[in-house]
Amino acid sequence: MLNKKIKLYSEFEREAIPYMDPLYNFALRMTGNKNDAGNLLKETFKKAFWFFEKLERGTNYKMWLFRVMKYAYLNSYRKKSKELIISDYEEIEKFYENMKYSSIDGLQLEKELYDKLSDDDISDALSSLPEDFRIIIILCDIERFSYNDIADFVDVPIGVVRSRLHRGRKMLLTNLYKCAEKKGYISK
Amino acid sequence: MAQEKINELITAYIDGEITDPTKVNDIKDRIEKDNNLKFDFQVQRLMKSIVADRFKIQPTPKKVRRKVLGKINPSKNFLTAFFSRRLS
Repeated sequence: MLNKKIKLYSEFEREAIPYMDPLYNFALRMTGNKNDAGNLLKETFKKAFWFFEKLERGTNYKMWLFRVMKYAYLNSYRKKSKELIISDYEEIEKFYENMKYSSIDGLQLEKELYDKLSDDDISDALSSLPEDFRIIIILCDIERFSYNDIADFVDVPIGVVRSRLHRGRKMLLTNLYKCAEKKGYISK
Repeated sequence: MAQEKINELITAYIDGEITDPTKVNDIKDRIEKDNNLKFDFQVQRLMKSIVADRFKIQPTPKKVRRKVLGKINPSKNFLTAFFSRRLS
């Protein structure tokens, strides 16, 4: 019995443990603090190991682990998410359109935002996005999941994934631009 | 195609989600000819690369890693159970 468990653990160690860092970072972005992120990670791996024996071999283990974490998060940690109020998005859209029609071009933006903002500024700007948009950007741009996998993960059609990514990145630009303005990297 | 739809297709194009070469060429052509779409394209591409390259990835703290592995490693669990029984 113990031998069987040890054999299973060594397989789990090979297939699942390498994803601990991405999962910890995802937990950190979802819960917003290190303590909850650590607990969520523990719960995720405990549940994952419990179900691992019955899991079909050859599964996309990374996506499966993210899914286990998602349900653990929804069950125990989800706080009232920052709802995106329509008027907020209208304001973002207006800000974005102003930028588009001002003299700023994309390459100038690249120089000002990419070079001058710190990694912390970028993490903060991403963390302040509403949850529905933040999750999709993390899964696409950091974890490099396909639209199909993301749609499956968040349980929405692919068109919604595409639309949220598009709008989420516009919101992110607005946050970063405002941050750069506040820090004096960009003149108003 | 409605403007909003084209903008979203640019996002999908940047993410490598459009595989049909005719569609890809059509999107490239529109980006080339339309300054608004060009701006959208540059913004979407810039945000994608900023998140991918500059987002601070933190390693799992050693203490947390140890606790996670301690919870599931059967040989550790067995030894813990064995010694706690002996000590009690």
